[in-house]
Amino acid sequence: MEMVLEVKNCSVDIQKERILKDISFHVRRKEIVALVGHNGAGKSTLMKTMIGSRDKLSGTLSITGNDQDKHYKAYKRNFTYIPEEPLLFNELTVYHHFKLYQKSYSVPEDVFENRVRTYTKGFELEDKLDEYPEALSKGMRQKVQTICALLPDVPVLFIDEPFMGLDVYAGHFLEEELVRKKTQGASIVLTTHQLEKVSELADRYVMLVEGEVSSSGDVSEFHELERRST
Amino acid sequence: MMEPMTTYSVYKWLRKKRRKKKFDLYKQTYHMIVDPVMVFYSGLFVIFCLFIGYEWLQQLIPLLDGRGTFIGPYAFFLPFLAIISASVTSFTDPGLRFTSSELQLSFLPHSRKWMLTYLFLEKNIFQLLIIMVVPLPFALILMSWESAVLWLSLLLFSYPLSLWMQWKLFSMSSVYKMSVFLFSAALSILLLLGFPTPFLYLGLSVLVLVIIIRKEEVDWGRVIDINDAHVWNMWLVGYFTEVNIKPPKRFGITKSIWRKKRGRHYSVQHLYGRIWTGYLQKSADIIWKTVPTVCLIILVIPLRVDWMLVFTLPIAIVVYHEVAGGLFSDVENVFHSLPLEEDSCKNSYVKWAYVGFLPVFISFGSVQILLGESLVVMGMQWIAILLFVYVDLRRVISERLMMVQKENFYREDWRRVAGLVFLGAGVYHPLFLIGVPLVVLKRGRLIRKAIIS
Repeated sequence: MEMVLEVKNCSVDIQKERILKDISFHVRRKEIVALVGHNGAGKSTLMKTMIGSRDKLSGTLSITGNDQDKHYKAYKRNFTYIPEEPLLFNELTVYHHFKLYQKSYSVPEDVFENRVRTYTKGFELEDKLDEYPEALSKGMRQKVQTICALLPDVPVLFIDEPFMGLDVYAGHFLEEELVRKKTQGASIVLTTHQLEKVSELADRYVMLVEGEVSSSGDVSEFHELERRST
Repeated sequence: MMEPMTTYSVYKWLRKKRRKKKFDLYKQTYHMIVDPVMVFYSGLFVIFCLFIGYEWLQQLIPLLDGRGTFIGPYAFFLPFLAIISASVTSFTDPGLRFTSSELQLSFLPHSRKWMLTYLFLEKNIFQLLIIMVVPLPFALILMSWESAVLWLSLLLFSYPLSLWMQWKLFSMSSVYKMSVFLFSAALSILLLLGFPTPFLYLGLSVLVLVIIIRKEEVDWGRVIDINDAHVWNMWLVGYFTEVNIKPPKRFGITKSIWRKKRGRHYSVQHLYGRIWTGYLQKSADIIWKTVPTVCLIILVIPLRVDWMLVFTLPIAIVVYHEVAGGLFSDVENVFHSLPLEEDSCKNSYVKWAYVGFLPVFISFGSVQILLGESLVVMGMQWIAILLFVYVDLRRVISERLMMVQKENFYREDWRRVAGLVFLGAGVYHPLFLIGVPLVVLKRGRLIRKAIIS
């Protein structure tokens, strides 16, 4: 199957300490890959490196052939990201956030309106469209952030702890939506500590231990997290 | 059985730990950025400046001795100014640094009220020490001792009053804050017009009494968000490590104004503009330091040595453009992982950057008027400055965006330098200003080409 995301020999240093060591893996089209590992294994650092908010020391990253260093703009247009902590703009209402994502990813108007309707209904945010982030609970902010990332059709969706802060109904709706996105052709990279979600949702897993890929493969081969050697 | 810790000892312990953590962070940043050779030479330079300053002060003291007596009666303005200042700052700052740590302590068996009292006392004692070290020696040199005592006693009364009012007003509505501001401003104008001071002080006492009587629930969430940002966002550490421990939030007068503008039909440029406005508010510290500094560069030095304007004008423009460009470089953090609509992103930012340049522009005009420059020459200089700033600022922002977007581009720095040289020389003789449009307009075309390619 067509390769969409390729991570090759990526190393990342933070304050002269090697956090990620020679990470390599790939994600194919219509595939959900779970990044798993204990706390401090480097999952979030890898996520931040993949979205370009953290510089890497060496290695290459590409989405649909667009190299992160050589074609940065094109690279950025090819993914959306749901962070663990919602990063909303205090200056914009919920609807403004959706509008910003629509404009940034050139989502056609009719598709946009349709999706806003579907997602706000699914996440029970229909009456919050004109609210500012500070008027929303943490879970609601997470829902807004999630909708923003789901609005455009992009080849890759990066999600850091997708179910954190979401209630049961919203979590279920998101699960269905991720599967739907996958069948429509999107690839999804997610990190989670909820291991049952890994086996339910993911097709493959990549296990990180102390900044290195310790194992990877089909999700059926995944049994438990490796402990860090202390 | 162990004796429980008193609120004061816990408060003291917490403050000590906070100071230690901040000190460690500064130390780490210091090790990361400071070059020992540079520190050595900077130290030498500072010692050299101190010697010059000492000599200058010795010459100045006999001239100033006793000349400040005329400002003695103005001490009566201090309580009014204290309230005006409190009402203005209360829009954005509660004044007392009650953070989330203090709040958590208050969930333990420690009184919130006592912690606030300690914060209040600590800040006042600290302020008292500052007054003793800085204004007191000056007051004793400049004024008669009676005036100095009057100033000092009113200063010691006004500061706690201001701090207390600021804390109280912070949780009150904007209408209240504005009313307090207008009332105290009106009283101080009446004082200036010669109305009897006791009556005006009576009016002020009534105002303070109204605030005392009015019971307002403290907006703890807002207090904590702002204070956490104040306490933990150490600008130097944040700047060099690119890590803000507590992200500052936008809270202030504009919040309530914007809340009313909830339309859904905004262009992308409008949305970008809103985000930039919020970011610039968060960066207010840098802006408030840069703009006055740049204005002072233009104003102060040429007033002592007029020909220095030849150098200070280009320096001021470069400093302003670099700071504006530096703030823009944070675009990736501002817009997170969003792909950028470049023109809207640049245009919405540049608009604010031009607005920020206005005080610099006005400073230049003022200094030229003070130096007696002719109107025709001034007009030519203004046009040249406007043209240069219009093109160069846009170019700086475009370059920064291309750097952030990891694009290759050709920097025509020599043209920028030439433009600045022509601007500076144009202060010496207006004929040189002809060079500015020649360089700038040509450069504009090349940049467009570079960006397209």
